[in-house]
Amino acid sequence: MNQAKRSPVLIELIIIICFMAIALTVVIQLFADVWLSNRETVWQSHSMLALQDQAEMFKASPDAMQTGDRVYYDEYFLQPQQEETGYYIDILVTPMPAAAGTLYEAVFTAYRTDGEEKQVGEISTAHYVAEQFEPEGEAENA
Amino acid sequence: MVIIMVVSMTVFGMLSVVSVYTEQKLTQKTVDTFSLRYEADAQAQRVIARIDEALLASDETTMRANVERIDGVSLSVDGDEIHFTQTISQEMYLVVVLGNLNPGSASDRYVVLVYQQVNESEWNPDTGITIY
Repeated sequence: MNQAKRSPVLIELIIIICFMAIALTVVIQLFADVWLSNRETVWQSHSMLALQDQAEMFKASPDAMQTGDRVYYDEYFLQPQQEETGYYIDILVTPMPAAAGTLYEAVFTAYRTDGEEKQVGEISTAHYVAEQFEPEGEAENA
Repeated sequence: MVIIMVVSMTVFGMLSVVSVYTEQKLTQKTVDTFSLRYEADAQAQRVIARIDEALLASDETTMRANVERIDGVSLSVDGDEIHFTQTISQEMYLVVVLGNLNPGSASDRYVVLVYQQVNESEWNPDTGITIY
């Protein structure tokens, strides 16, 4: 009878804080996953544009690129970089001689390294260069 | 107050998820289209290589037989142009036309007249709405 009634406000406050903490944990995790997914999508999208750039340069001049060439880019594959970075495109060119010319087949693969190398995108293309043969008359005169 | 905060954060979270999901789908569609486009382009180049080989081995009389032996390739009636298409997707094609044909020539056996991506999907433009 002499005991003061315990105020329920403190207990309610504790329950509310626990509820908030649980809810915040879930929501913050959700936002973090969304941010990571968005970053992956940005890499995929930008790397595809960079791959297109390289493919079009290859088609303009197929013998200017060789297997083993590597082009480095900034963090989001927007600008090529001179120094080595963790974001790059590897080039694989295979010249295949044909009867009337050479067919150059190329594969461009974009990678990013965050501890481990991970492929972000890939494009395969080809370009045919017809050979200009010397006419027989000119060869004899030479 | 707390409930309002939790509900609003949950709503924003769900909106973000929907937005990212939509972006992912659109990006994947774009990436797939680019890949198909370049694959069709590579295949077209392989066909051009075979056509060039056929032209090198032909003369005026044997050109039609040698060229039309290649799958999907046709020579125009007057023998001036070679046509073929490569499928990119259900509605998109790569159309290639070669002209200025010189069968058997040591150089300049053909010229690429048309190398174009064509979209055959139905186009339904908005006709507009009457606002006044």
